[in-house]
Amino acid sequence: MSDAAHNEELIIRYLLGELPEPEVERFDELSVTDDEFSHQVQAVENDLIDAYARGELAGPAREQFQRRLLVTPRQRERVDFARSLAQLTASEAAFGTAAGASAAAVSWWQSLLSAVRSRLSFQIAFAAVVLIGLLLSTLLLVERARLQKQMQEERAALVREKQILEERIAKQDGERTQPTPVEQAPPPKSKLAFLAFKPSLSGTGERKQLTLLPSTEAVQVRLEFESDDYPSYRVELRSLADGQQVWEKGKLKARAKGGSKIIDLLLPATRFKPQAYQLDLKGITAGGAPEDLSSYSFSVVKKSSINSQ
Amino acid sequence: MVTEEKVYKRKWEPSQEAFKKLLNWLDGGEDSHGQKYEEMRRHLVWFFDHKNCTEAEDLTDETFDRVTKWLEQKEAKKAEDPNDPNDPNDVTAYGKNYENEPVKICYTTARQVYLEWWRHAQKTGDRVDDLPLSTQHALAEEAERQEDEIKVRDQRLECLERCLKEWPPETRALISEYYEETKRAKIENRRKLAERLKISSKALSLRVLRLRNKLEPCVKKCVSEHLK
Repeated sequence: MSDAAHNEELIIRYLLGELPEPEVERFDELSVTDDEFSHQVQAVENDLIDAYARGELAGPAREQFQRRLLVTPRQRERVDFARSLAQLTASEAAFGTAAGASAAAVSWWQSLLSAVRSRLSFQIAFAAVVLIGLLLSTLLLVERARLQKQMQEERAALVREKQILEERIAKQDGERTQPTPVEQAPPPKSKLAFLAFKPSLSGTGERKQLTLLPSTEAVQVRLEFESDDYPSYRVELRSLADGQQVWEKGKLKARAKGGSKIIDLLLPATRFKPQAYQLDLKGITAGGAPEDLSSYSFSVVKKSSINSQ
Repeated sequence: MVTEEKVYKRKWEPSQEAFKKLLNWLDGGEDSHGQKYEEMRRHLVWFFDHKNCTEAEDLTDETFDRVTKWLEQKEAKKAEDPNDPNDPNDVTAYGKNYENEPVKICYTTARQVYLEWWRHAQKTGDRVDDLPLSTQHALAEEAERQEDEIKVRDQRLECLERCLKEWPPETRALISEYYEETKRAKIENRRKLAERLKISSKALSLRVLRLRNKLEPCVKKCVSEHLK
């Protein structure tokens, strides 16, 4: 293996958290103190992100990527960007780009001008241009035909799949005597519980229930609310049994969804006891002062299984 | 060391003059017009993000604030005792001596800030990557399934095209060609591209990295403006 390839392999292992701690510290320091190393790491990281975005990572590599490089919002944004870039470059490779065409046109014009200066050169250049033009046109036509064929095949596959699904639904409708299949499905063995609050549920006294199973490891809470723009938000969780605050998180950013705003939180399931809680959402002004926005109450129930009472 | 409930809570902000001194110190004598600061800032944000800190930008600010404060204190000490034989860049507070190496001082400070953040996050349970692996998988897959992602995805693509249109055609073509191929063909494709441009593969990689580092924030800004 060449030095460059060996370095790249080491960097990938560093990025995926597979190096021993002393090596990690050494690479951490270099990533800040050595410009060349830092650029190399970022370039390798971009390639890794692109590979994940294109679905080229599989198995343990994919899992390790998700564990290490899909954790923070910034990392997820980079993967989203990579997906868009992959989509754009794929479509441009298929059909050619306006930019590429105009760049080719500019250089073609320039080469024509310089060729005109010499008659022989002009004839040769003109012939070369015509040949290149013919070649490009042929390539484009071939590629277009290939893509059209691919699209037709995919369309046909979708139609077949739709027919199969329709047949299955018809069969199930005929056989069904019980409530919907969803209710009969085996309980999901999810390690994640979800709690979502819409604007209409805040402060109305209506209390949601959060069910935790022994397998539940984390609770994802989504707060959807309507408010003015604050630079940041804070959420405080307090027990309604004794009024004690049990958790808080500040410097939260909300994202827009239509006319509402959304904040997503992740809490370890071990935070919760079987009792009632209240989540208080506060907007933090530019001066750092908290302003009460909404409160959301819910009660926690711990069950040994999904079907137990 | 200072222990605070939130290490990223800015309790002290540098003055304009102090900030200028930081820039001069990072430049080491040659005026880079703030480029060295910007480069160091990018390195630090990357470092904190790589450590899965959710407040990478805030922790970078904290790092710079501490270094600036340390520079001011050192200057004040030197003014008090000009004959002090100790090297003004001596970072003995951190147990290491760095001879006039701003980058290493920034790194040491950043590492300290990270360790404090990590200890705080352990207490409050903020560290998402301490959750079991299976939960992280569930999180990652759930993030991909979010129903409004489709709308955001379309907007992101539109913004990417918009941002690229602001660049010269050759630059846009460079990006397209650099990211065109995948897997093994990618290496050969890039080698040929570097040859055609008459630059080394390393120089090509750096050029594209810098372009991408400008493109990502452009797209992010465009998406947030359109989805307000």
